[in-house]
Amino acid sequence: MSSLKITIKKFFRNKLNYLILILIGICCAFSIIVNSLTYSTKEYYKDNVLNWADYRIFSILHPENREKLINKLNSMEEVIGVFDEYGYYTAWYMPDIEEHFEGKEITVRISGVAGEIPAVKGENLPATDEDVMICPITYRPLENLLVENTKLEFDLTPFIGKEMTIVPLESRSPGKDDIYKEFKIKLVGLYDNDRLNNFYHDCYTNYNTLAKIRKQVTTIKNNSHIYFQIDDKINEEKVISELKKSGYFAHSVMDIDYVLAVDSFDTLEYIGKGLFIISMLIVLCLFSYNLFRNKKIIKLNKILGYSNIRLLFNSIIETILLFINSCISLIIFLLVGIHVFKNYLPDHYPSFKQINLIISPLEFKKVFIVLIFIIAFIFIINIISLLLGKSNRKNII
Amino acid sequence: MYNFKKIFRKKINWILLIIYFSLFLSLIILFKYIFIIKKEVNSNIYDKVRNRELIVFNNVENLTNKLDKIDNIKYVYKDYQSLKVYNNMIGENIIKPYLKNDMPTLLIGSYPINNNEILLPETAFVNGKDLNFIEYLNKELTFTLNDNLEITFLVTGIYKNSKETGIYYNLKNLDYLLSKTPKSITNYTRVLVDHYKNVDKVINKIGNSARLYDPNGIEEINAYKYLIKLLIFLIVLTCLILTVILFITSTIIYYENKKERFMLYALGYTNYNICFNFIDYFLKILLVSFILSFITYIISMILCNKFVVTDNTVLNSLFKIDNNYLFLIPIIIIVLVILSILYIITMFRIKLNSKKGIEI
Repeated sequence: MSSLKITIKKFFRNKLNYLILILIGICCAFSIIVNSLTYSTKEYYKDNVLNWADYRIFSILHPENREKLINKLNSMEEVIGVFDEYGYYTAWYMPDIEEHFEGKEITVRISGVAGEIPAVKGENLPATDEDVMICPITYRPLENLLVENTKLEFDLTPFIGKEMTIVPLESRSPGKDDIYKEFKIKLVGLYDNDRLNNFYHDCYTNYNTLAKIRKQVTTIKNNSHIYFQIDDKINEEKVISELKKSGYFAHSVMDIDYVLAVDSFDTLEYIGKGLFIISMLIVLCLFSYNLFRNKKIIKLNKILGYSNIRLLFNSIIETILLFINSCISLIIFLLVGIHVFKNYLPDHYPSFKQINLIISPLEFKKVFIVLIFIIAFIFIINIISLLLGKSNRKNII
Repeated sequence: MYNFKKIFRKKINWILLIIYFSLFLSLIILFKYIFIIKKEVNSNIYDKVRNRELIVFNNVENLTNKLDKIDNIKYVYKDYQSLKVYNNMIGENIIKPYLKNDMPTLLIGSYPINNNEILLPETAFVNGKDLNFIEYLNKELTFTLNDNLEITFLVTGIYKNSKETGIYYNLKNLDYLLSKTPKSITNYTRVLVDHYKNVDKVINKIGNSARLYDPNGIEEINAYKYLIKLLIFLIVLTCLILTVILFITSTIIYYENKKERFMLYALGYTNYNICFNFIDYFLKILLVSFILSFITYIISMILCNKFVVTDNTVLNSLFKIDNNYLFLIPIIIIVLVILSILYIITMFRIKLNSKKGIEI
């Protein structure tokens, strides 16, 4: 019992052990945080950004048999709305908010959508064709989209529940300042575009409402596209391949280069795995360093007359202590990491405001298993070195 | 000064070597990764024509004088409604008038120069079938332009359409094409800016009536901007970890070399010399680890090029053999900064300890 106490005391008296524990904790927490961050970002993009209404709208150019295609789309349960150019989108002036921008003509884009859009303030945009719209919580005029300046952002909260005047851009001719068409549309709520890091000037209404207004303003000469919206991005491949089989080629209206984003995320995942291996290699090196350091002490103890069994016992106790304290150190650094990520980082990196750092239990399990393997490895090395030491002594004798 | 043999005779230094080697390797890969992503995003996403094309709500004639004075404008042309062409064999397509430099990479043939020349995609989905258009190279095809006029084009080249679709036409000949379909011309003007970064400057100079023709690109730009920020954060995190590991391991080495420092002090070495000796010792371990990690990276590049086949363009570029080693500069700067801080700390430690009259 006293030997155990001495071993424990000796472990905690050594300052270098603390440094090793800090390093092990940092390496393990780092590998867990990096992998969780990669996973969380990927999930955030998949669930939020890429599943937003605009990303679920597709178009088909000049279908040979328009009616047949519309019937086909309406028969697909994943398709929640079918419309033409009139119901797609167009730009409008919003005179009601011009005074907040020094009288400049402010443009907003109103897009037609099929489903409901959830609001963070006010009411959701209903899936029915009422004369209502929903706008972004952080609104920035189309004219200022390229400038990253929060001063140009505008809060539309005071306008919730009010009827807003919109003037179609297409009703104006160059050199002619008189506006000859005005419409009223009620702003029912504001959606969370901050969560999407995007869509600063996009208001949404039902596609039937938009088509009804636009038909009073303009006649589209080449109404050759059919647009449709699907219920979930997961069904994209299924719907597109089914349409392809019927002879129609549909493509996303967002025209975003997914390949580079997907490839970047995939590579980032590989890098995350690589960093995990590297962190674990560093942990193994630190355990080996500790073993190497203990060898000197074992030699000294042997001279003092300690038996091999007792030395092995001491070594096992020390390795177990190192393992337990490494786990504690890992938890401490992980908690510090999560705290920093959640409370301080979003102030400096606004991109992380919306990303929930999901610490997957699998990542934790992986690190734990690797640590157990390292401990087992250290045990085996300890036993072998002690046995070798014994045989060497016999040879010497 | 230490020689390398003496340093690596100590077994503990081998452990340090493995640790630094792993960290440098991860930094090399992370920095190369961010360099690739930044380059790809700048050229393939930010600098797309749609992110540089403006519409000005005024006639070209009224604007000519004003636009001539603005730098960064690459080309000014009339605004038009969509230019659709139809052909029985290649189906319906949109004509994209682009400057030669902005057209996608050629697979075969040459870029269109004259007013009756076009660039076709390699494949397209026509009448329910995937068709290959290579057979139309150097052949004349007759199309119906905007449903009302027959026009013949010579296919001068084929491009690989992994991302882009449509038929490309030389923007410099747009007036000829629009003269065939005058109803498509609107009373507005389009302006092509030389670089995405200058768009805002040009809009400000033109005034209130100018804006991006297709604002959809902004959503894409924003999506990638945040991806890059995440990567930069990861690099900052890795650098931070490297710094912490370097400081802690330097402290371990500092304690390991206690006897040696004591001996040097007894032999009459100054504090400065003892500190320099320690830094030299540490630098040599770092140098060997850095060289080893770089060699490992070169070997993995060669092996990956020979044996690994993947569709992932970023991963391919990561292990592509090229002569661009600019990504090493930030790593060298980081190491130099850490070493300087380490030098100051070691000097401070030695001075403090010698003042106290205890071992250095």
